[in-house]
Amino acid sequence: MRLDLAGVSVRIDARPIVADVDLTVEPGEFVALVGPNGSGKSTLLRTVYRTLRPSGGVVHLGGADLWRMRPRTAARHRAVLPQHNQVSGEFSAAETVAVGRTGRKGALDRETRADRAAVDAALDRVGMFWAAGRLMSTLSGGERQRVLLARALAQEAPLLVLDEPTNYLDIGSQLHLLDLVRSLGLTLLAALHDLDQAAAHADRVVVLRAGRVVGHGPPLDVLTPSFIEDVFGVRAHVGPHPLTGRPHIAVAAPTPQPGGSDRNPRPSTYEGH
Amino acid sequence: MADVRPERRGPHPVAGRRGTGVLLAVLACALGGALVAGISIGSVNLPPGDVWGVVRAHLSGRDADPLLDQVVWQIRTPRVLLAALAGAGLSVAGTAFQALVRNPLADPYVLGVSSGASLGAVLVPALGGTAAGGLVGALGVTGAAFVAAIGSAAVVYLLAQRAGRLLDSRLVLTGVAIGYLCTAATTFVQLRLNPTELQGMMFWLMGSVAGASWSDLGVPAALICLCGGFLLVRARELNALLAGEDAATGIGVPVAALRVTLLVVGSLLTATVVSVVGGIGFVGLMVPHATRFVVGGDHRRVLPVALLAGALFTVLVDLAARTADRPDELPVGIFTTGLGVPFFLWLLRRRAAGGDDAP
Repeated sequence: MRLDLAGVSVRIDARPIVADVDLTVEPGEFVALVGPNGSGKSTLLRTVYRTLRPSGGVVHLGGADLWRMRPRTAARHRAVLPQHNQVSGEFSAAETVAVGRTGRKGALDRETRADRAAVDAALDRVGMFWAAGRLMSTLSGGERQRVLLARALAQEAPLLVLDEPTNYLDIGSQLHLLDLVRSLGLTLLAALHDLDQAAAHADRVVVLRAGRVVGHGPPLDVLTPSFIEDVFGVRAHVGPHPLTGRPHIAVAAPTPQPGGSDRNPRPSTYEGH
Repeated sequence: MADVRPERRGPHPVAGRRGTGVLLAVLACALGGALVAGISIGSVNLPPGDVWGVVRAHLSGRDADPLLDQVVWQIRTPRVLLAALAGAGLSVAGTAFQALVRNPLADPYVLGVSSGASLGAVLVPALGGTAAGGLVGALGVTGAAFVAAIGSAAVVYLLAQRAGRLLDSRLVLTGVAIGYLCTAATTFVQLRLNPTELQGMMFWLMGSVAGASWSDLGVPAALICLCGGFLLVRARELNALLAGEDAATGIGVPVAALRVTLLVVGSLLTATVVSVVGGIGFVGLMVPHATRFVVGGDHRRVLPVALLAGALFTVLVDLAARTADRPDELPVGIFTTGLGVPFFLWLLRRRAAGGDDAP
């Protein structure tokens, strides 16, 4: 499922948050959206959730305008795991995952064998099958996050949009989760705050700063030390990971410059190929 | 990731689908029993046989003993039925509002509906004899309360929305603020009433099903069926709504439209009940919570159970209110809280052992 954002702008209270963003995710591709806090990553993703209507530009999903689809049609094509989720402690894990089937059910439809199979498969996929009957209030933060991922998987949509999916997770679970989502065979668009994770897992990165795309392409082409320093204001080392051989980015706080910072405030654009 | 796969347990550790069916049957029987008890017990106790005789006479079109008929059919039956309808309506409305604002403190009055209704009601005697009084008086207490209740909900909606979308926190705070405003205005108007008028208002302000007649029942009954049915049909979407706006939209729920619909449905239900029985508190807050403690959060189970539980609870509470201090009647609100709070706290503590539901 191809996702295509063309010239997308979002204004909130007349203030431009995202301006003229072009972003394409090809079928089967994993695109990581990175950028400093407040750069507009979540805002941009919310145009794909359909909670924030773009003030300009279009969001195409599989060639059709996402914002002209019926809500349940959109839900069959793309699933989302937003950054902020409210967990209802009085739902069991299986019930929580079953909510993901809502878009596939008519008002009077009963739960079918296919629904239960999808719920079980999704829970199994994230390693939470054992907790199916457990109340959400009794699960840890990391376990809840995996159940919420399962809820998105239960939608059986070909495109999965994630916003900081590794929040609340310990280091091991973070790596597990990213390996897991990569192994699903889905088209993926994920906002990630960890550049190292983006470099190690994504096929391409799109870098936002102040609501604009300032770089896009394969991670190592875009995330060069000078680019990272320019956008994120940190020193960076890029090289193969000593344990895995995958691309690895190590960062450190900038060395204080005598006479104060003279960082170029103007966004500059780097193009990968 | 999981190497060990223990046997999967039912969908809910407390009550699964079958458990809910049994619970609904038990509640329905208990409600039937409570209704009969409510008709039999009063300032004069009647044997259930006599009650049944009158009911059978009416169902088959025969004449019953006139005195018995007066007490059973004209006074007590509409009264217990109104109590049941009020409890059912408030519980369903409370469930809807809790899903709408996702706040555990939400009850049917969270949008100022009850305060608005009180203001509308006290305006009837206060404006009596003035030009505006003619219009308000034509509505009667019930009509004026309903109009004012819907009016306050509409004001809250207009102030809390932005481009048609409702904002959670703003909705609750606006509702509370408008509620306080109406309460202040009600107090001001009350001070202008003479003692007799005030006495008549007090019972209504505190909530009461006394003086119910058959003609009071039709509208609430129809509305509870309609609204309850509507909510049940959209129960899956209510579940999704609890996940937050982004997630619910992603799941395929038309969030903005559904939330406005919930506001309308909940306000209509509450306004209808409040305009007939006054401000019976706590039922609409407690019953949905208590129901969730027992059957879990799925609205497909919560809605029918809360409806029956609310009806049963209110019938029992009304029975207590008029038998505790015979032959005098106490305001039903004293007993909804007096009996409800200990039960609620017991449930709350019992549940707390299972862990809390932090985000």
